[in-house]
Amino acid sequence: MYARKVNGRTLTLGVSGKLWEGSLVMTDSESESSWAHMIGEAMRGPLQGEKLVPIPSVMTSWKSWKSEHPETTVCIMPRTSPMYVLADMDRDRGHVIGLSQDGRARTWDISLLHDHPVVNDMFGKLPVLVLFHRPTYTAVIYNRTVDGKTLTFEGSPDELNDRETGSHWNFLTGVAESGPLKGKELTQLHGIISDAAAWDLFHPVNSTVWHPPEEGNPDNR
Amino acid sequence: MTSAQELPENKTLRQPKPYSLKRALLLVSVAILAAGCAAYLISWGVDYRKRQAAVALLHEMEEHALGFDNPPSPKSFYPVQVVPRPPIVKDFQFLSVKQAVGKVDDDEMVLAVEINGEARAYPLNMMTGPEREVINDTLGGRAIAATW
Repeated sequence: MYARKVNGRTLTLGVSGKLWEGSLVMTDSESESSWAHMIGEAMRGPLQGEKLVPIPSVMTSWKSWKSEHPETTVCIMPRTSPMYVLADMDRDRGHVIGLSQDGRARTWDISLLHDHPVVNDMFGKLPVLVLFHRPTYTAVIYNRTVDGKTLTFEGSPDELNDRETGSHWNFLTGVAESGPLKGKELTQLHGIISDAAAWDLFHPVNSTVWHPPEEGNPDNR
Repeated sequence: MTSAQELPENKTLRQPKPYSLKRALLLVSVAILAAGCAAYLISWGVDYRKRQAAVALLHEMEEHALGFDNPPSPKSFYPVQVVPRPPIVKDFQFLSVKQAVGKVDDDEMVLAVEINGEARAYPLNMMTGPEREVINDTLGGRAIAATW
């Protein structure tokens, strides 16, 4: 999900019909520049070098989203696939949730998150919280700093608490629903679910991989 | 002629040539092989997803053969046209939770976003295939491209 305003100009982005590194290339109708979908960067054309600002989004089930956002709208188009339903998601497809910002990238393997659904991790110097809710196949990344204080989360996405204040948090909205921090909201980061191989192609040198602490390699670079 | 002058000359002679004939032949044969495979696949008429995977694999092979392992940059940008450029998607409508009953199933996966208090979900089953991978939308006052 990207903002499509670049230098004050609103772009109309579309599919170019081209692939690069096996990944979608977008074209904007205004300047006919070519944009690499995975990294949101114009690789050719008048806007070459410009970057789209990513907007944090989440992949979850319709039921889960509408229960937390009863006022939501849903964008309806003709159906093009039957495959993206919960029952088909919950198998190992080599997916990761990846975060890329400030010249740094890191991935968390979804299959490893099955056994570690609440990960307190570091992204460079940024304390992050990676959550995976298996019943809705939802992976989400938050900044776990609130009002300048770093929190440590424990429990499960359904029963999520921070150790420092004991407040209870909603994993999907990032909002504290009870406890001393009630009403506070975690900032969601631009985590994207991706195929591990595709991620590596676009982040060949600067991406690190999270390993469960039990394996003795916290890899907190 | 002093020995001091001879030494650098000898050193120069001992340096390997940067591009040997053998390496050039290898590169050319790899390029021909890759081009052949690509042409074969495209004429084969495999479906979009399979073709996507095949092209990715070919590129990976090429890069390993040529020794490229650099971050993506305009220099290494060589896109491949795999389908004709589809028109911009415009045939969508926004429904409330109530209106969407029967149109979206509870267990369907959605790409969802909230901006400035306004929430919207995009069912993934309506965003697959080359024609629908990018939706130009406006939410919470921001122009966005819903894509995944």
